[in-house]
Amino acid sequence: MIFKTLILSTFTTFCIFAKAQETLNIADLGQLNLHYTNIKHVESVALQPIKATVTHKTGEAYQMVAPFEPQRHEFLVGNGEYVESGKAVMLLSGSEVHHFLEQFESAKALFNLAKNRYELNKKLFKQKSISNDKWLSISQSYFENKIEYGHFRHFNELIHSIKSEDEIVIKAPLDGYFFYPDLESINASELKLGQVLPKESLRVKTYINIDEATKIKNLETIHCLIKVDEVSQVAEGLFLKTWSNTITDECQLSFGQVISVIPHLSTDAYQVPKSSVFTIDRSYYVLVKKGTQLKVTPISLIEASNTFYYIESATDLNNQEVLSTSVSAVQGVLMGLGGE
Amino acid sequence: MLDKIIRFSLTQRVFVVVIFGVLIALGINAWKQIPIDAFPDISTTQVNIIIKAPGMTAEEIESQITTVIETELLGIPNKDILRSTTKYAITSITLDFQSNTDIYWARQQVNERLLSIWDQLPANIDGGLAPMSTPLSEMFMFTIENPSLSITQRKHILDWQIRPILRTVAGVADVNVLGGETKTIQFSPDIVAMANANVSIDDIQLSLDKANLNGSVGRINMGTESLIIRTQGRFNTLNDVANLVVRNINDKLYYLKDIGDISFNSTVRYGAVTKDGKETTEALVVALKNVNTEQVVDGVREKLDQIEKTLPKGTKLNVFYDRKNLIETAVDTITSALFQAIILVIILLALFLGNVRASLVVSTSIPIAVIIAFFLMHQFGLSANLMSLGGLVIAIGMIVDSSVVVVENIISQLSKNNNLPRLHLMYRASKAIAVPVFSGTIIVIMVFVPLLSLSGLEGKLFSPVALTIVFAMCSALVVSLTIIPVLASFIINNKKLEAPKYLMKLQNGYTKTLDKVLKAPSLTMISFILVLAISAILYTMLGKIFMPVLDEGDIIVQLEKSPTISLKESIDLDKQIEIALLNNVPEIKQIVARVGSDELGLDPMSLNETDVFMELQPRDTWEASSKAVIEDKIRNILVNYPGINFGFTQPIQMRVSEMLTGSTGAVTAKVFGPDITKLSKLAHDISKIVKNTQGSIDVQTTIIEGGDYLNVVLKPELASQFDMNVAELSHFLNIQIDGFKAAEIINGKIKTPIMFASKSDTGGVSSIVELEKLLIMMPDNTMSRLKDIAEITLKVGPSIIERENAERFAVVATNVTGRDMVGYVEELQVNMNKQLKLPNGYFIVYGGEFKNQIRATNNLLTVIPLVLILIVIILFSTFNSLKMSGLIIANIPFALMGGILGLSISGQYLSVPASIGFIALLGVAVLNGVVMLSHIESVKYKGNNLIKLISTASGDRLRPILMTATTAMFGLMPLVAATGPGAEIQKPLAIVVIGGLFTSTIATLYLLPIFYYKLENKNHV
Repeated sequence: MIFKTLILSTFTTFCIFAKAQETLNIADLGQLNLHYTNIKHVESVALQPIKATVTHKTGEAYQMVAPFEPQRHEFLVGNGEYVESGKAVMLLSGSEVHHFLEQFESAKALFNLAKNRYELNKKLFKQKSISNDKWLSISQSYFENKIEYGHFRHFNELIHSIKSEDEIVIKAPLDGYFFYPDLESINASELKLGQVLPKESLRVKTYINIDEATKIKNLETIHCLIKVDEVSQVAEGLFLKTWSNTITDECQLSFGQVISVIPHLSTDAYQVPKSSVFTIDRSYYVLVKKGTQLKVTPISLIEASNTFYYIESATDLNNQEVLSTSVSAVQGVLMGLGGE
Repeated sequence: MLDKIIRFSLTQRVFVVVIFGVLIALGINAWKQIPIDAFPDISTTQVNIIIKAPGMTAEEIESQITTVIETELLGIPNKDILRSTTKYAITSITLDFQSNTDIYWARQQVNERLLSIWDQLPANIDGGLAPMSTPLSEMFMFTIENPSLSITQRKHILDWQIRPILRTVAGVADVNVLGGETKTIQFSPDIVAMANANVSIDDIQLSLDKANLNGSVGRINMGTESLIIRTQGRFNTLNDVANLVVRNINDKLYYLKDIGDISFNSTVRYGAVTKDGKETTEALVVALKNVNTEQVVDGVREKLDQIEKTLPKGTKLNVFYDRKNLIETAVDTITSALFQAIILVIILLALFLGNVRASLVVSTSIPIAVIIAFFLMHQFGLSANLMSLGGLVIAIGMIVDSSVVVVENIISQLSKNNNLPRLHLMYRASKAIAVPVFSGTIIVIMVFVPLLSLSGLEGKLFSPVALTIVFAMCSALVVSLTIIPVLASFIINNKKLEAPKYLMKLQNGYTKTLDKVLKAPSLTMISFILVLAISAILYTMLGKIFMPVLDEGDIIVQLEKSPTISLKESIDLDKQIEIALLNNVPEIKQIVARVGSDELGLDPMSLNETDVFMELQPRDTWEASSKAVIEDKIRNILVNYPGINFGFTQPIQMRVSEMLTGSTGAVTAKVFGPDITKLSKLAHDISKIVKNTQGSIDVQTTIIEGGDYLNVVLKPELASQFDMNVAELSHFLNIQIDGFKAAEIINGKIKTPIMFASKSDTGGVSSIVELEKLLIMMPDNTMSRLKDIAEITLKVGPSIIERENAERFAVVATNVTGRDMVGYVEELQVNMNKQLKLPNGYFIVYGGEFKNQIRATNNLLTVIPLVLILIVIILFSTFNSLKMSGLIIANIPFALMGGILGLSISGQYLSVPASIGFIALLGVAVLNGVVMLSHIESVKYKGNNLIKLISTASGDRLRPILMTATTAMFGLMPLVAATGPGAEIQKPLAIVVIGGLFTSTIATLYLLPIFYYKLENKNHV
């Protein structure tokens, strides 16, 4: 063992003191199995997978709010189901529904009354037939009723159908994903019936390290590649919140899904097989084929995948071939190894 | 005393025959039982501790493990040297005990001390005492072959089906499994999913620990019976692991499979094995120290035959190394040399004695003495090996001498036809020569006895030789004075023994030439002195080695690749070379190459080191004329693979070299001291001085500094925000890089580790950039990149730390050419003292192969004068004259010159066996001198013409002298002629003895009478 240690140590000495010569004749490499691989120029490099969430930016979901608290509500579609505008999504029932319908009719009648009175008195006010105070009172009544009615009318527009005096069916106001409300909001004074998120609002949100976030161009999921839309300018610890463009059906993602995404870093690099890269004195090199010679080319590693390294080089390596087998033996030659 | 023995033998002939019959039976029984091996046990009493500490750097292991253990072991009784080598993830501590220390006692002592400090060592380490083996213990190797089985499946079979059974074979210390992949159930955490489920690694570990067990509950009484209750939770399958519930949040169950990948996988590999260019798995059977290798191999083979039938269809156990083959070949070589020697000696006896009955009686002394020698060897714990059997071959020519003298005298007495009873005549004849026979044998024995005092490797190798010769000579002496007279009484008639005619002619010719030489001795003396001078010059020109190399039959090529090479790349290069060798060297039957470390850690090689083991085709099918030619062919292939160093060795040679010399250099300078950096610089400075010292060649310097490692240091101000600490980070990184054994599944005897490790299909972390960007799951279940919470820097530290007696050291090793070793070391020491200033606490120790040579030389320089003194004492007691003793001693240089000439002509080197040949030579040379001088002395007053007296007396002694010399010479001829493995070590010895006896016999026949004449002429009346 000590013998081997001595030999190893001698090699290490070579390692430390060896200066990589610039070129090697391929003919001098004897019977070594020499295969070459084309160097590929790449504009992006996949980084390690990170956690991401399928969600939407704040405020992009349509909130469905009821002006009363129904005794019962029954969802007619699944949570997160894609619904088209006008589709019945919920059945509200109970006496409060009846009260609402009555309130709506009442508000409507009051509004019509106030409106007629307002229209009729408008000419009189222009002719100065009525006093300012009177006109103010009529106008105030009209607008109050208008607001009251409008309030009821907006909700009424969500009504798909009235099944009975105690039951109404609510419809989706627009195309999108329908989400059930939180439990808390059900008990609130103004009931949130749910929300509809437009299809074009669904995005992937992730957090990327500050020094890489601005260079990330795409996020890769299992089924699709999505462009990065926005990188927040406000750091959250060591990260910046990053939003993708809206996702498409081909991505097969669901709202709220936690997924792994692979960020693609924009770069200007060359892709070489891992077996092509070697070190001498802690510097990285590849062996580039130049006719009958191999040129020892210094490089720097910037990223790695399963089988490739992504490298940068001061030399233009486009359309060049790099040695990808027996590289360690050639490294040994550069270190002065070989022979008995 | 001797006459009483002879009288008893002749009066109790039947009893003596029965006694010898019993002795022969015991001897034959001993031969059957005696352990047979290639070599004698040359290992010291050595206890090895191997500790594996996954992920720890050499420096960390040294401070936390090696030093702690060494400190505890330093005070152990009978300790000789304490050495350690610490590398990444492993430390090997070796304690050499003084010779003759009982190995079991030594192991117990070490084990007790190790256990007493085990709690002080870091957690998650693994190991202990290495198997009780020696470097020669690797005696059986095989691979498991089946194209339809993956290397994981093959290793699984080796681990769980073959290894447990082979370990039951008596004498097997362990079975080292190399190559292949260990099957695991791997959980690869998906940290995104884990964060989502709010589960940490510790949570998973805790769930696993609590679930994967069978709890013991107790018993309940059920009516008149009792029933045992247990809780069952132990996992049996991958699905059991996958369905482990790790979290329940609001009825949302998170199974292990939900937060990561569960799959069958394999542990990180530190080595691999390839066979003929394809990966495979190898088992290496390690034998216990002091076992009968042949029996162990037979036991292993028997078990393998049984196991092979139970293996999956198409599975073959491919044996590529069986020590028994070497043993059989080597022992066959020596045994056939032994039988050839016996036949040659019997033929010579017949030729010299000219009497079939006498030859028959004398010849019987050979097998009887040899068989009794076996009995004694067995009683003294000697094994039958190259050395001990070689000793018997050496002794063959000498063991007949005493019987020859006895038989010759018996015939002589019987032929006088006295009227005395026949047995009485035999008694008188035997008694008359009993003392000279005893003295002569004692002289030969005395020459070999001091060899028993040799120490070191030469002592371990040649003590059996000396002991066997002593046994054989003692047996021969007893045989000659007991059973030989008895056999003679049964076989020999009263017919006068007359020398054959050709001997008479030879004797006449000799007497005439001696007469002439005595009258004009100048030319003869000048000739002798001239040859002596030439041999003295040749001596200085002889190549010197410590020991000849034994041809073990197989070839190992050691490959050394770029030190930073990965396992995959290393395997790829090995495969290329294997295929090229198989395609171009038809003499290679198969190649099994091993790269990196073995599982037991007995020889933790680095990933750039490969031992390429080549099994050769049977010799008669070779195209090449010799093994050297095959090596040349291999060499020609290997030079076509530049960038890879290679060297040739053999299985035993490799291990012995590592055990004994510690380094390949003839001279090593070890600088000891505490600081790695200073040691590194001093080693560099010493290297310069060594290179500048005349005679240095192949200077190698250990660079203990230079191991690159990445240092990950937490940024506490940031890490603390996430509750991250060093322990958590190490644990997390360990999972990402190497994998962490969290639990295991037990199915009968099969244990499958459950590993937490990163997905293998992602390629793992393969650059510093990747490590920096590695996502870390914080204890608060948030994620961060490593470089955000830790500084990552490339550090240079010791890649290997070697220690001796608890002191760090660095070595500079060199070979020496063109000058003597001792002078070189002296000059080197002077240069060191002049040019090197050692800091306080630092010192240099010189060692290496030269130390073996110097020790051997010193031993021999002590032994040889001792032998000479003993010879002088015996001679003086025989002649009562210092002058006569001096004359015989003066004959010795002329014996030595023949040995030197023999070495020069045969191209052999001066080595330890050759030196021992010179010592063996002394015995026979002196004995012949005694035979000659004692007879001349006895007749010197029987006439006035001294020249006539001397030449006649010398002529009378021609036959015994020629018989003694030629039987010894021809007894060794088969060793010189032997070409098979095993003959290499004894060959120089045989050549020296044959050459020496040749010149010694001529000197005895001509020069000794001249000296005697010169000395006695003045006084003779």
